[in-house]
Amino acid sequence: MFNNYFTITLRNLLKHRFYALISIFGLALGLGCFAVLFLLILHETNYDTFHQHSDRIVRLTEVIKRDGIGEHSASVPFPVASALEKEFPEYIEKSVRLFNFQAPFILLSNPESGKKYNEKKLFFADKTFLEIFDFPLQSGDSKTALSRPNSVIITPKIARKYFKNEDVIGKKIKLWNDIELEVTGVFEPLPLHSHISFDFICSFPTIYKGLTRHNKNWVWNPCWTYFLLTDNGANFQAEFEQKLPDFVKTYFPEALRDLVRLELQELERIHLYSNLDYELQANGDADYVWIFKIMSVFVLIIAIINFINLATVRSSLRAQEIIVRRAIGASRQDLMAQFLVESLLVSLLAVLPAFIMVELALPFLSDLSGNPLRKGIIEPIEVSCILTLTAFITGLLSGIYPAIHLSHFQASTVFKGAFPIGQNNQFIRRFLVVLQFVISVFLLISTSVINRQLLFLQDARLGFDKEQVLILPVNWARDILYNYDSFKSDLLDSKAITSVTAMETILGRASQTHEYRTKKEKEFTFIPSIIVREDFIKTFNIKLLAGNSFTEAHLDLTWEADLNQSYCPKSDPLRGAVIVNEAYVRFKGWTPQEAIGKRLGTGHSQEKIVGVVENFHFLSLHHEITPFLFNCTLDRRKFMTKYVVIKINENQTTEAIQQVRQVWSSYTKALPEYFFLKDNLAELYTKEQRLSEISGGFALISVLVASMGLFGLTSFITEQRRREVGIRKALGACNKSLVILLSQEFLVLVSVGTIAAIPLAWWILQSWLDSFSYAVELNIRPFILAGFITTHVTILTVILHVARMVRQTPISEINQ
Amino acid sequence: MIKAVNLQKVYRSLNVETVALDNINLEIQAGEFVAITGPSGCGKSSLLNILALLDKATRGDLFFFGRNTAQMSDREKANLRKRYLGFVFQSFNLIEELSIFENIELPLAYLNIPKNNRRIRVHQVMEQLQIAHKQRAYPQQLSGGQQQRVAVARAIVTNPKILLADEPTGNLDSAKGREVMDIFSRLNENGTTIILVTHSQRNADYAQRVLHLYDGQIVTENINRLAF
Repeated sequence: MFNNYFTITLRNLLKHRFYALISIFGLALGLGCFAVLFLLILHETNYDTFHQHSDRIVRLTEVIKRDGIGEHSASVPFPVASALEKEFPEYIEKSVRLFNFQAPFILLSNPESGKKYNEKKLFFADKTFLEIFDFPLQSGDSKTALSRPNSVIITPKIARKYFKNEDVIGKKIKLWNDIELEVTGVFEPLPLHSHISFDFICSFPTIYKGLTRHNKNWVWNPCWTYFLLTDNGANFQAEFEQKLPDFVKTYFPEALRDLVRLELQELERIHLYSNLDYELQANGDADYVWIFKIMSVFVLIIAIINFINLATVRSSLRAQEIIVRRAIGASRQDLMAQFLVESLLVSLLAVLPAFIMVELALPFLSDLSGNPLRKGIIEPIEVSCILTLTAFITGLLSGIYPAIHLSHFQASTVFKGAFPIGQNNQFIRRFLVVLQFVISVFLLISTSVINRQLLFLQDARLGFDKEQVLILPVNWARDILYNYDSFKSDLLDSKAITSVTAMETILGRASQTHEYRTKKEKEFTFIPSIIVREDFIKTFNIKLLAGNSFTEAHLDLTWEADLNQSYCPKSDPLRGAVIVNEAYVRFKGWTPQEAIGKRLGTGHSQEKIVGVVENFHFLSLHHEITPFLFNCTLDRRKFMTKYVVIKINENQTTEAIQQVRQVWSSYTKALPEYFFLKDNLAELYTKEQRLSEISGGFALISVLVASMGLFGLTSFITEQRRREVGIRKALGACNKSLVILLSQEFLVLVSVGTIAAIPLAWWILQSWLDSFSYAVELNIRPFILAGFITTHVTILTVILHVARMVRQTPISEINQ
Repeated sequence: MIKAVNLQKVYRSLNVETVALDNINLEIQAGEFVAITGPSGCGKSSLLNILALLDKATRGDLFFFGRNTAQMSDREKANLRKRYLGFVFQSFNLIEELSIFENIELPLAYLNIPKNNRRIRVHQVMEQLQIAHKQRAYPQQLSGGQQQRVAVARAIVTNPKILLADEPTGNLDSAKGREVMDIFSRLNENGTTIILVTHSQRNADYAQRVLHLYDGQIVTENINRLAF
């Protein structure tokens, strides 16, 4: 019997090629989209799960806040790991620290070839790195690879880049043109779903000498610190966390004890649930994964509805066959089995094109952090299984309704020769069409709102100039750091460069927090701030509300910096000068004018406010503006200068870059590296960019699939009414009235769908926008646009059929 | 073989009640050739539907091989149909997507007969009705007469005890119609019971017994001696 079902299915598909193509291609598109989103969801939710002990690994984080101001850092001070391990052996089995000097890149070279590289993904790690994490080595001994100073493990990609092959054990790489590192291992290709992304892991003892002072520093917190908990620690993590405040009281300096809170983060939750200061890389977002889940179900529902509707109308054309089968002995169960088998076969036919579509699309896909997805759909077997299972369930779902509906046809009509064709299923069909359009309109509205929000984030007025600003990382170019003033002066020799300054972190992207004394002598508060150089306010064109910029303060020597000026030579005219933002002044309860001249103490000196600037976004627009200050004080400027900022004249970019390269090479042998601030800041919104691209793509596909379904349905319905159209034409109906007659049902359905989608979209999108500190206002425009698009697509779809029909002579239609 | 007692069929739609069959009593013996005639709307098709177990009577009893069908489930009736009944329709009702061979094979498939046996039996029937050369063709490639032969082949392929035919020659010219009726005659001679619904007196003449229906009632019952 199965053969018979199979035969008749294939012949039916061939006979009704048009419907078959729409059904199969529509379902394949739906399944393909579902699979892509499923892959994305799988990728996002499986971050860091590949480690054997991932359920026992935690990261230590540090909250340093007073009155809500400060930071929640993903990294902690140097000595915390060993002290905690010593204090709580019952909870901690091992610990590992990762450290990279918080440098944008580190200079490496191949001593054999002399080639230099600026490397961004280099970390120094304790030897336990390979014991806690599962990053297997393809060569080298994992037990000793990080034991000795001056050892480095590299990825196969780096081995090829530096040495042209992967057999590189014992080869040398130079760090900062100074320290010779020996390659002691090569990693196997790294998993892509890891929040720790690296190319080099150097042994921590390599830099012990230079860090002796910091090994006892409980303030500077540059180490990403992970613990492998004991079984006891993993089972009683909350109990362990309760003991951390006492640890802080015992070990941290007195001035910090009331400010600091240590917290544990489960490794597997970092990627989706952590968005702290100084993250290793931009993480994903659990809410966005939910959006993808909803979107995947939506697109699949649209495709399934199409499939069901077309299967139903197609099967309605087979009333005669069904009744004859019943008359000659087929039971209702036989018929249901036939329709289910047919439907399953057709849905499984859609799996192959779906697989092909996903394979073709995969190279272009990346996750929320911008990392590429896994290699293919075949590799994670669960995706292939889910895809096939989904097709199977779709086939079953879409077969059930026609099977039940058609198996109820009365066999007694067989002698009358009048077979019922698609009358009883109108209500369900209409409901399904409305549901399809609710989803399509919702996705269209969402895409429009997400796009507007993205544009708003990218183009928002930040309160400083980001156009024509070139950033030059200089942290390891000592020759430049020590000769900054003449370097700056040489750059300014070019007319293409209008202004030069320097800073500690990239303005608009990140800030540090530095400790400032409150009124009490031994009490500190950590205020988000950036250490900068002269001409900063001018270069970024930040609006001054009161006082002077650093340049003007330069001339104002009427005040004296005092107290413990160990870092600050008396000859420095800017010693102790800070500029605060409006939020800081408001936080203190001052007016901008009142703030001028007020003093703030650091651990080393007594700073003075020389200017107040208008509020600006020193971090991404995900964050609210909080009190903030620029510090141009102390000789630490030299140590803290990581980026030179160059403001370039419009249309003179090439000349400016030429000048930068020329001046750079006259000062240092280090490799120049530069980027534009605007491009760098755009990366802050990678997540939103990805969401916008994904939602846009899927909204378009959903409308396409829904339209394909509508096209099939209207084709069927207009065919059904061909005779009626002929009679109406014979009686004098004009083409316009016929178009209205045939399209009004669908227009009503689409309108109902649009209206139903509006409150749903409004509610969900408003909640999404509320999650941003700064967001666009939800207005009526996206709703009108979505309604406009769907209505016009509907009209176009119907007109394509109707136009063909109204061109024919009335008699040819009546005779049909 | 078939016995109808006080059969009544009433169709109801909204407030209108139409009596299609009223107090029908009849008995059909094995091997009989019975024709049911009458004007349009007299209830011929309603009676055929009930006798063919495709429809239920509103009142009265229908006995099939001595068993009352009133309490039978749909599945039981479907089983009886596929084991004992064959159908021939005015509009042939062949399945367009199936070839001639597959159309004829279909009732055997519903009886779960093994494939080899099916093939042998279908070939026998096609030989018998002289359509073997068309086995790979599709219904729409055949003439009306050939299609009706195929329909008859499909009806008799399971060796049904009873063949029910509704205006089997209605869509055929007189020569082709005669051919079909000759086939029915031969089948009847071989022991198949035939119940024929027809307008045509010429077709009715093939039957041994002719029932005339008028307004849902059997008004006359003639025995056709020539047909014996």
